Amino acid sequence: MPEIIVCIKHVYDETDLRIDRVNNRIDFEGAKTKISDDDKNAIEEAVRIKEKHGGSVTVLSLGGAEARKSIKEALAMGCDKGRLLVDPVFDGSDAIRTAYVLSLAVKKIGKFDLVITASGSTDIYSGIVGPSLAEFLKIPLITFVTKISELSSNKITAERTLEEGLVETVECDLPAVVSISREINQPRFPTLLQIMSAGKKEILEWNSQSLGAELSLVGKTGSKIQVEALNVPKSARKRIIFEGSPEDTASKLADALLKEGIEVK
Amino acid sequence: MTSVIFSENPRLVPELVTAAIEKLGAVDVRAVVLASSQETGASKIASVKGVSKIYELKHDASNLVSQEQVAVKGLEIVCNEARPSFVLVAATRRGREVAPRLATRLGYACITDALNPRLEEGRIVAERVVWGGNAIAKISTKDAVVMTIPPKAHEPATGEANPELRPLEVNPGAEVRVVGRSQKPTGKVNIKDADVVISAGRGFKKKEDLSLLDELAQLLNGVIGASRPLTSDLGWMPEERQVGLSGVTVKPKLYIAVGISGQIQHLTGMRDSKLVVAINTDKNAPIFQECDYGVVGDLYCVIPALIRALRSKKV
Ligand SMILES: Cc1cc2nc3c(=O)[nH]c(=O)nc-3n(C[C@H](O)[C@H](O)[C@H](O)COP(=O)(O)OP(=O)(O)OC[C@H]3O[C@@H](n4cnc5c(N)ncnc54)[C@H](O)[C@@H]3O)c2cc1C
Ligand SMILES: Nc1ncnc2c1ncn2[C@@H]1O[C@H](COP(=O)(O)O)[C@@H](O)[C@H]1O
Repeated sequence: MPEIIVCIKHVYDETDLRIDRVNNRIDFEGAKTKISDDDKNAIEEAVRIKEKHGGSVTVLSLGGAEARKSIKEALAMGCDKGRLLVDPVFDGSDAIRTAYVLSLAVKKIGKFDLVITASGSTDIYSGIVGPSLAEFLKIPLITFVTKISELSSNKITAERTLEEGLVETVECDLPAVVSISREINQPRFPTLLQIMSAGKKEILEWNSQSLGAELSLVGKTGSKIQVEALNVPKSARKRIIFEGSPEDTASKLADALLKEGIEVK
Repeated sequence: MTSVIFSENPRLVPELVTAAIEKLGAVDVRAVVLASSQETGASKIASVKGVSKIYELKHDASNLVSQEQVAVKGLEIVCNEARPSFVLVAATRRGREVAPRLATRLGYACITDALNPRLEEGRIVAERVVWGGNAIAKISTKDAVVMTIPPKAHEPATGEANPELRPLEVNPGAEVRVVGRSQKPTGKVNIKDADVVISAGRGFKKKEDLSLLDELAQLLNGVIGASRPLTSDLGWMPEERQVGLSGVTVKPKLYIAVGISGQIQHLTGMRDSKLVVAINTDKNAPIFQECDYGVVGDLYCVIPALIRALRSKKV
């Protein structure tokens, strides 16, 4: 019966940030937080595997104490236990350092068949953590998975969707890391009962010491990239807006397009 | 500065050459291409001015080997020899797997979807779109770095060259085995390369109504794209027509957003279009802040009227 680990990131809701275009500032203060969107598909896939094959699902999240909220939500969706990787020394870890810390937690869990991540996180969408985690663990990796076709005790077969409709069916031995695309499924909404009973499930906190993390390899010190600034994108559009009857506005728009040199066949 | 560039699609190599030389001041550019044991076409396509060496990763194409595995293994060997200051990988899906794996293996930094890469005071700097397109992060590194570069962000380098060809047998192991490849019918519409893209949004009430845009697309020699609700949520249009953060990035000469509100995730995919037109019933829709010309009106009336107007006015 498969032991599954699913990695989720607790993020600010990007639609709830206050963007100050005039002063080029982004205000995170008081913004809502959530499970990174596609990580819900990762959770859903893990829970579906459990419903079909048995086994259990452990949720892993590296984050601040607030990430507990997202772990609880994952438990309500059907995961069995949570592990929160929390330590001030982890602050400022770039994606590769995050993968390193996650790899330590995966090794500490020890017995597992599959690690599931999303292909990218809603906040920074770097798409680094899944592939990097597979490298740290030195196990096979399948990315951009849109269907898990078969799972046996020692092998997984999956479909991955690449550009322009190319679908590749691949297989590998377990344990493996799989990064999923959101098309793989529709995440469920937990019921009130599930939300309430999730409170009883176990969430352990692991810090750098309990993970045996090399301090020079985590946080800002370990990270090889720096975020120097966050800027609000500028728009330099003309913003000429036509209002009125369809005939009138369409005619003005047509004139404008022709004046701009757009060719009409 | 030495750089190594890679794409499994050799046609993207000339763009990487431009980024490496003109943006990042590389003096020695070494390209890595996949070449199955039978063919050498890839090297020819990658032989543009500025490339000093081409490493041809030879593998047995008959047994459906994982291209990512060949690439990571091959690039690891090349980088250990060339010791590049930076590695550029085209940001295709395969490239997005290859880059972070390679960076982790080599202990390099990794910057994905790097826009406007450049040198500033001895460090490599790039921009990335973050927070669903709400912000642009300026990222820098002092270390050797692997970056993925979005296709079409740089003019392809031209001019013939005679780089040294270096065949490299790669035995990547068989951790991941490809058991089959299939091509979903894509209708052969490629919104990425079109000069005119007309995108439909949730303002359309049913799938059949999308045909309203066909004639407009024909008149303007354009192709039809969509916002996310119409692709992954409703399935009215195939995934590869989706413009936006989790879809395709387009930069046509003309982009027309029809019944699209202009959420940040959509804007991210079309922001670099030359001219943007929006048609929307809601005067306060955010798309009107991001367009050059806008019509406040019902698409069901405006589109037919626009077709009539263009017909009568064309020269
Ligand atoms: C992580 C993430 C990634 C995403 N990626 C993408 C992406 O890649 N691409 C993308 O598009 N979205 C993406 N989205 C979704 C995005 O947030 C919006 O939900 C989506 O773009 C909205 O699509 P829409 O404008 O068609 O629909 P709506 O926001 O519902 O807008 C419909 C518009 O049509 C107008 N309208 C209604 N009737 C008419 C009419 N008769 N005539 C004219 N106008 C009319 C309305 O006024 C409204 O402005 C993503 C979201 C997330 C969270
Ligand atoms: N801090 C984190 N804790 C747990 N999982 C993470 C974390 N950051 C990223 N991941 C996982 O890696 C995926 C890709 O993240 P990213 O590389 O940031 O785009 C996410 O969707 C998660 O599944």
